[in-house]
Amino acid sequence: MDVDTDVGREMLGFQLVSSGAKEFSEAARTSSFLLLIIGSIHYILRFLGFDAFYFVISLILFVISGYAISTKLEKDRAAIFLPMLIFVVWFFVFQARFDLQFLTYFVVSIVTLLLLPMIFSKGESIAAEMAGLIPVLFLFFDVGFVSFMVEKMHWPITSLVGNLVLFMPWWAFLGLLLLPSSENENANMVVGLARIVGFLYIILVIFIPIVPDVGYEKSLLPSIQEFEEAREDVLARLPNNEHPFVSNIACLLQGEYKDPVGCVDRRKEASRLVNQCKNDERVKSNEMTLKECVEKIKEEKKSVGQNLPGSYDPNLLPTKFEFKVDKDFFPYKTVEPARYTANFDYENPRHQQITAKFSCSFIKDKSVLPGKIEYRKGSDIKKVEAWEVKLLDGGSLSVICLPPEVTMAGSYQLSYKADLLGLKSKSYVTRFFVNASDNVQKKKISQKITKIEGSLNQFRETKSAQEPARLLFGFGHTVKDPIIRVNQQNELNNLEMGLSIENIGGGKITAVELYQVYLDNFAGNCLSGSQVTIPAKPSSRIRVSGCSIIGYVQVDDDYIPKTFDAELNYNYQMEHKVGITVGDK
Amino acid sequence: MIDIKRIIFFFSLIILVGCTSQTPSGIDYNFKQGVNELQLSTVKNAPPSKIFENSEFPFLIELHNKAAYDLIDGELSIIGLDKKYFYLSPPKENFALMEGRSLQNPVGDKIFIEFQGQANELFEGAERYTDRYVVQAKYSSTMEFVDSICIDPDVYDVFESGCKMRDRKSYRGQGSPLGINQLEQILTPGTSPFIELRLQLRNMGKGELGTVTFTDAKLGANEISCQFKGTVGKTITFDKKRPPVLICKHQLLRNVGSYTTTLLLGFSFDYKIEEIKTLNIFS
Repeated sequence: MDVDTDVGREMLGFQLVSSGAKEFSEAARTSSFLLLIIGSIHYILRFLGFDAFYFVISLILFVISGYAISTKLEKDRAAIFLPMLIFVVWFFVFQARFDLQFLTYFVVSIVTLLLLPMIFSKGESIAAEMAGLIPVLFLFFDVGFVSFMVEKMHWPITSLVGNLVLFMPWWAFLGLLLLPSSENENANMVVGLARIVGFLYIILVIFIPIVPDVGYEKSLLPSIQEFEEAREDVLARLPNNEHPFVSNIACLLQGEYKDPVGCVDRRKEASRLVNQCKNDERVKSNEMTLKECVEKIKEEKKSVGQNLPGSYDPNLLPTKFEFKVDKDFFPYKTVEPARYTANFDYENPRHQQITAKFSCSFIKDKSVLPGKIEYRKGSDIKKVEAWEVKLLDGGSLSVICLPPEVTMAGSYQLSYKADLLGLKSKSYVTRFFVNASDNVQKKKISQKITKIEGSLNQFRETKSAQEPARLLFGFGHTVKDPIIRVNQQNELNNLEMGLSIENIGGGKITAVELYQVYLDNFAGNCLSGSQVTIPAKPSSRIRVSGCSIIGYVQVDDDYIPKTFDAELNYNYQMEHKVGITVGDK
Repeated sequence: MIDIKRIIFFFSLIILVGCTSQTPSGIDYNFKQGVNELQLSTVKNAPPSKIFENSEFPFLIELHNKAAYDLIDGELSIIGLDKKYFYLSPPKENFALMEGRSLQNPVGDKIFIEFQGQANELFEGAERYTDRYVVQAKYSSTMEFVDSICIDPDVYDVFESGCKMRDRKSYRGQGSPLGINQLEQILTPGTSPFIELRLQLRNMGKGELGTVTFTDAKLGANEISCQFKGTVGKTITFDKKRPPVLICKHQLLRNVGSYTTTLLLGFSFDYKIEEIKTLNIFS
């Protein structure tokens, strides 16, 4: 390689670098560059939640942007600052008043003010005054435009509005647009590239998330009640999700071209769950990890979704029982009969006094060979047909099944059984007792209840924790109607009560010792019962006879909500079958 | 040019700052305009954001009368709490009088009403429970409508140089939730001219209006006869789907030139305002 050429290249590179550095230092001195830098810092601080000097920094940036625009457009600085000053006075001092009386004299004043420079400059100041509205527009966007529109003009909060509030670095963007062009092509290229990135950012942040809900047909988010301070309130009303820019980029990188909206939504949901868990008391007190919390919420949502809507209360801890075999260690196929160990996992968060009786058997065709359960009591090893054990708060037990002392060969179904005795489940329904003289008033109060409590459908079903079995009940003018109209004497006659026992645990209800509905001030002959006959054919529902009930509920206001409990005492059998093979064939 | 710019800037500042100093001083501020009403809010930490089961908690409601009129016969109640989980004592509280905003009391009366709260046991196995409830205030209040209107009994006098009668005027409220938003003037000229004034009443507040009664109606120094459209008495039950129109009629003198006079109307009404809140019990 030619040495002179190399030196030449090095020289050229040095010149480029030094010229780039010079351009950079010049750029750094420009107000637009300052606007870009401080605007970015301002945005990052705001995004991270440091809002202490929010308005002060906004105002500083507002002034800087005035300088930047006057430099960029080479216009009269005073003429640019005049509309800015007018805006500040209107927005901050007069708190954006727009009543006719005020606007009449204010508009006259500002028109006079704006005309003066025009007269003196023979119309030359018009362009400068118009340019002065640019910082006004950006300040308006930054400090309160969206909040203003939401509060005063009742804009619903859509994805677009939310993204505008949360994710738009207005000042940095203005700084980027105002960056001066330079003689250095490299610097120009960097600035041009940055502008393209800026526009891409706007497209990614604002426009992609609104594709599914263009316009404003979506209603407000459900948990919203009042504005304390417009901007803070709007922010508080938006879930603290992943930044849409990050979501969109991540989805693009993951190759989710077919369903980018769905991908962003999924990432948003995951981010929302993480944020929800970050604020969860159990995570804060290290009772559970963030990951466990997220999984728990997902599981709760899943279980609610799979069953009757609204019939499980995710706030209630479920009682669970489950047999499991370890696929790595379980002797599915052996030459000689083996010790067959299954795990019995259980959760008893309500500290019920539950006794479990474990047994096992080997089934081939129609013949059943009872096995023995091996367990350790102190230093002794016991082998019994049924092993009885108290189930405490929760845990896992090894249930060891020994084959019968007979010759075994071929394929068998090994059946593990756990008879769970002394189970109790609790369920509840909520009813709204309405003080209404007629159906029109009832309807009006029902609408009010819906506004306060949400959809009335959620109160139609019995709710409980996810238990193997529970008592379903409902009562009212019809059994699932959550609104009960009381007469002027507050007496309630001929309300219909419906009852049934639901089995959803995957096992069998073997006995119902007692069921009881606790209805204060109500009487009826079906509110409790015992020794319910269990149908021979397994079913997910055991019907219990209902009845008419009468009662009294004092309703002084428009309505009162009342929650009623019910209890079911029952025995339950869990069975788990595993296919095994004995012999060398 | 620089000097001119400085002068313009100086002028701008003086005019704008001049504007600013006028309103906050409040010397001639008219409270009886716009829409203002009773505001209800809970006090910070009363109730606390986190209440534990089987515990007592303070429950304090702040009432702030931002209207320009006094409130009387007030009743504050908490509705919608399920007694299985929460109990408040007493269930209702009365407040007799709350002064509205005036020059003597520019902020309006502010009072605090205290309830004693009790959180009961959670449902077995529950870690938390959230209950939504309504803070409801019922009260009676008044509203006054005063405006100068131009009356021209002899509309055919083209050489009349007095005031000009306006067929329709709009208003933004009279400092109360009950407001008049439009006045229509219909003049019937002739040998015995008379004027008909049609006033549209609106519920401009966030709450619900009950009965509305007009108590006073004067045009200048003269009493005028008014009645709600479609009714006979002075009282109506407010229906937001069909807001009431008050029709006032007054006989005018003949051969009188146009003149400006004061229209004064007084109303009393019952009102109910509600705020939805939540309470949480933790285990």
